[in-house]
Amino acid sequence: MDLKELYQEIILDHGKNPRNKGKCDGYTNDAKAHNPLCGDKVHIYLKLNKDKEIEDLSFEGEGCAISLASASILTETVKGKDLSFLKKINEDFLNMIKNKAKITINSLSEDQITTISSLSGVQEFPMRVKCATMAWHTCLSAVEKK
Amino acid sequence: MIYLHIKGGGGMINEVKKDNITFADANTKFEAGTMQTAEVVAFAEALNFIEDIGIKKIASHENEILQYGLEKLRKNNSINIIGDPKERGSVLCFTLKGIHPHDIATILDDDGVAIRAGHHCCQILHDKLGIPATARASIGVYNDKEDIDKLSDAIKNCQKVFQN
Repeated sequence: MDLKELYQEIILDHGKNPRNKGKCDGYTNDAKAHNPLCGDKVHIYLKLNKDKEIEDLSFEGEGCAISLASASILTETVKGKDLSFLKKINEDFLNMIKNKAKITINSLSEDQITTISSLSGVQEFPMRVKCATMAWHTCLSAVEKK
Repeated sequence: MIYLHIKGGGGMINEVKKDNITFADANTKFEAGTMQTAEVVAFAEALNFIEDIGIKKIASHENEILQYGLEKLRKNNSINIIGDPKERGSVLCFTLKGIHPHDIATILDDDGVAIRAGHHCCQILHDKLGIPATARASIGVYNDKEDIDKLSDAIKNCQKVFQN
């Protein structure tokens, strides 16, 4: 496994310039997660409308390039989508990380799939899997929380 | 006072009847199962190893490598060495500009340099220092100056990976 697969340009870019960072205005749901072993923190904010669509979302957090990039890519991917999309992409994402599966959702552009797939390199680095999955788990618990 | 065992296992009983059990006397009743024989033997060997070389000699070797390491890493302007105590154990904590310690550890590992990253079970100090985590290289009796050179090169390589 080449290290370059893990630290691809897309990941480094999202890690250095995370998208949707901060606390979005008028959020309706949020959830926090913390990995006590490494100290990574993430807090996800979502603004859901009546039709259960993610009108806006953002994250606050600190951590390594992988965890920041993962949170950034997550927010970029699900902004403007509905909750069933969020659940499906979450499943696909975790399946990709754990079982090397491909992203199958067809409502995504090729560019978006390439971006998400850039995180698949972590499967060769077991210690780093949690860095990549934490934001995705947290986003789901934010919508499941009343 | 009767102290009860917390673990059952081979060697800790005296007699077992349908309605009554008597346990072995202390210490045997607290040592259920197979003794950690391998660990006991290895511990003795570890003590022999330290005594053969001499603890003072080990400390002075580690300190020499540490001083070399401090000097070498201080030449890299992107490295911030954490803490400057007069008497320092043979550990070298540092941060690297713009790169999280966990990323440093993964990239260094790829170059065969094993360090630890994180808050090292010391969250309060990290809060006080205002940094989420540090990278930490520990120097042992088996390390030499060449290892420090490798560490320094691996850090430079890490900076290269992040410059892309």
